[in-house]
Amino acid sequence: MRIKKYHFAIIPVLVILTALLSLIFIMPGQIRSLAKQRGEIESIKKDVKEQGAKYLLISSLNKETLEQQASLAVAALPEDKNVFYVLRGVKDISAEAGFLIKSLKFAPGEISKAGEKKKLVKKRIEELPLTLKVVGPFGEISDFFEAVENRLPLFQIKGIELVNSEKTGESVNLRLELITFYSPPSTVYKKEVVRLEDLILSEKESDFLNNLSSFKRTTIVGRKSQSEKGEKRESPFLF
Amino acid sequence: MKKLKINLLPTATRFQLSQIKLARRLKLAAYSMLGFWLVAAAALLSLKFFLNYQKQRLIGQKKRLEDSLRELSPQIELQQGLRWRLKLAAEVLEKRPSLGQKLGQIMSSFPIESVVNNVRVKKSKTEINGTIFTLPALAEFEKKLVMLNKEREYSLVKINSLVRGGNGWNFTLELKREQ
Repeated sequence: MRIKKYHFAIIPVLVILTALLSLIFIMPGQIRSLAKQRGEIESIKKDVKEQGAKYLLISSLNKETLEQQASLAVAALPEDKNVFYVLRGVKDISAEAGFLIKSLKFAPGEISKAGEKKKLVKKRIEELPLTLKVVGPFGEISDFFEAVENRLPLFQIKGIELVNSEKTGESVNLRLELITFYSPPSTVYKKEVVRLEDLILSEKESDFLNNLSSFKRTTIVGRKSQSEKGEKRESPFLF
Repeated sequence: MKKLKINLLPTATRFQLSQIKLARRLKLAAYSMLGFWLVAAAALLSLKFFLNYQKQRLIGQKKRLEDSLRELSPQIELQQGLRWRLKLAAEVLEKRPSLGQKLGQIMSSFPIESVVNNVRVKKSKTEINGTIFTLPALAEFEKKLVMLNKEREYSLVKINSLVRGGNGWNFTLELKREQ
């Protein structure tokens, strides 16, 4: 009876209650979702900014300079066991210091026995040892050592044995144990996670690159195949 | 003087009047609430729409940049390869002792009246055998040894023998790389 007297209040009260409830229960969720969306936008904005900077940086790099620098780095540390390249390096060193190569031997490494299973551990820097016997003037020894240590590919003198061939000391026989290095191309980095600072050569790296450019480079003369040369050998067994 | 409020209306009329007033207030409150709710919903929706639009626009921009970067990926690869190789080459050079240069210095410091018979380098030890022919040359040699001792990278460890030989003084120098 008493409720009937207040029937006019039912609709407005329901409206108020619904609005209030929706404000209390729906709005915070919506606001949170908006905030989340805003956060996502900020993160995308940051990505866009970084990608833009990367793009500007990379597109500003001179491709030719980059290729030259990369070729210098590969000259210092080749990507594979290039015996031909090493031989040429050794030949250049000897010629530079006025020494004659008597013999050159590449150490073959360890040979596993039949049935022996050995784990192939890939190293970042592989070593290629070689033994070199040269003969030359005693006075040019320091030049020879300097030539060895200032040559690309990088050589390390592991051992030296020097014997004067004559008592006068005019010429010397040198037996050198050398190591040269190579490193297979690596994919340790992922393009997606390359940071902006990764795209710039650090001061240390630039200095090192400058230092490398002061080393003497061994010229790589490409060996053309017969078909490329456009020649036909009459007999394949005659050189 | 205090004002007197006298309501002479009958109770039923007063009740109806209060109901009318209440209904009007409730209506106003409901409309206000509805208005507020509608405004809030509209604001939220438009904000959501705006943010969504902004997000889509940025995603598009990002995708375009990624595509452009993908086009430049050979350069990135080259650059990263370069940095990696530089790092390894630097490692090699750092570990490599400048043995040749040092030996060159040692050799050039020997007096003219001397002969180096043998040089052996193994790991960190360098052994030099030779002969000195004259006494002044020996004195000069001793002076040079003192100089060599002062250098930091290598130091003279010992002279095994300095014995008078047939043609002069034979010597053995042992140099050890300082750690």
